[in-house]
Amino acid sequence: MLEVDGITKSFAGFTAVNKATLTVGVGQVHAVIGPNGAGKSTLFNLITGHLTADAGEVRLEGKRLTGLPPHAVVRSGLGRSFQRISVFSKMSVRENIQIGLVAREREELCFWRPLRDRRRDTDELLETVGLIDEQNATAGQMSYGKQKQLELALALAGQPRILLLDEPTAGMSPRETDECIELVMRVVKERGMTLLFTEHDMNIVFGIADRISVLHHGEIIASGAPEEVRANTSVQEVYLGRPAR
Amino acid sequence: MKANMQIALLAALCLGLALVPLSGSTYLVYLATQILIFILFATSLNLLVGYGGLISFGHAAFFAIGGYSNAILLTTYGVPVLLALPGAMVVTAILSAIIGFFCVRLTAYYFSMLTLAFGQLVWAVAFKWRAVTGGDDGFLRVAVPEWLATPSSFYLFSLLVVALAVAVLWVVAHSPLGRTMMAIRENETRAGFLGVNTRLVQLITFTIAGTFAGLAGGLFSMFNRSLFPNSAWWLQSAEVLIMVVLGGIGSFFGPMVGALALILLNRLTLQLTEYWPALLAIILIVTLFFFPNGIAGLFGSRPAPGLRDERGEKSDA
Repeated sequence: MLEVDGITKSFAGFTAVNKATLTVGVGQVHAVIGPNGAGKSTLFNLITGHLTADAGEVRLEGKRLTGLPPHAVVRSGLGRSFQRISVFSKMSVRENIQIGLVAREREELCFWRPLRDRRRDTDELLETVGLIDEQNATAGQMSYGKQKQLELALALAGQPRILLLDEPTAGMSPRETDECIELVMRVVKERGMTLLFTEHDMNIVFGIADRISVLHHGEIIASGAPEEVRANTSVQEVYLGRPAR
Repeated sequence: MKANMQIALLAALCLGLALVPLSGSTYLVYLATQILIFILFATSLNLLVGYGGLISFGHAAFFAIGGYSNAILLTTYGVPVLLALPGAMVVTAILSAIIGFFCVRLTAYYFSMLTLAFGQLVWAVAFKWRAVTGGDDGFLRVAVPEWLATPSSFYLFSLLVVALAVAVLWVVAHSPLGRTMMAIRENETRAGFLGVNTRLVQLITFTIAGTFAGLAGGLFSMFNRSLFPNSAWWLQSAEVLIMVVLGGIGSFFGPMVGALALILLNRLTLQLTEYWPALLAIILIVTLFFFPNGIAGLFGSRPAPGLRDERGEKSDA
């Protein structure tokens, strides 16, 4: 489904991601783990084209994504969230969703008639992520956890075939984390999506991932099923040997 | 309910305005015509500044392009006004699209600086292309058709054109494009990763804003019966920007109030003092410090997010 082939990025001489290669199969739940500063977010931003790669290539269903602007990447069937919340914070939750639906229907250039309400689709998405009661709240004034839910709704708005979540549970309490993971897994199963996510919490990763790639100093040092990764000695050295997080 | 009330109020306002010529005062009719033209000019800029967050310092360029195009079509080529005005809009649309193509590639300050540069370029062309524009002598004796020759008939014509144009701009501001512009202003990255072609949205908005500034310029060329390169000069761009800020950035009707207020103040003070530029500066400073939401903000319309009050309307409707 998604192939990342030797992708590399340096910032002022510091190589943040070095020749990272990974493959995500259709319907897989694939986690990228690694200590803080390992380059997880950079890798994510390279895959989605938010950052321009120095070398390497990303393909989605055989189509080259590298070099495409964000909207073209999204239209290829990819949806993403951001580690640091990125919503339209001055707009209401409902208005946030409406922008997503306008974009999905490629209606953003339509200037000759007023915006349609899209009540049904909006309600459906709001119910999926559990924000129907907050629909009129101003996005930026909601709790952190609710904003994360909205972030997920926006990633889903384009009906992606592959969902990329960058640290979906970052900054959440243990209870919020459980709820968030349950929600993500339910939506992924319901919609038959492929999921690629980064995560620092080992328990979550080994609980839900089909495959795990371990990133260390910008390089993927292991990739495989959870048991293989757990058994990998270099992974144990750099990561599992130390207390989680 | 509230939206219908607003439309009814606006229709009543237009009807009321149509009665201005009955006052018998030519001065009043002239003044009202000038205000109408600048209301359209300011509203077109507000689409860019208020809804898109794109601060243009060169919007007068399109006013001048529309003005010269209309004047040339009417006078040099003898085209009837009902074709010349749309023709001027087409010319402005094409040039706005070309200039916009470069400008929307840049963000924030760089966008503003580039619009300023293009504005000055248009001024330079108007100044130097003497054979077509008349250069600094101006384009004189614009051939206004007979049926628009009296102040009253031209006023009524302007009222009709401006009302229609403002209605179109209202639809644009409330269309998916307008809403998407606001989203881009708030969070361009997020909009892009929702699948929005952010530059294309900005380019189309830039072109629409330019086109309607061109229509205002076309009306102005007939109102003034002449046109000078100064209509493209950056001070003209700054003045219309001040109208938008004074009236209230992002509130749809605010800039209209700004245009009205600024022109009236200008007229009043010119009778009393020669220090209009100094007064203009003071007005701007006071507005920015004490009424950042402009005159519209004073009356409870909260613009900056641009969305709050509109949502109120909808839930009432």
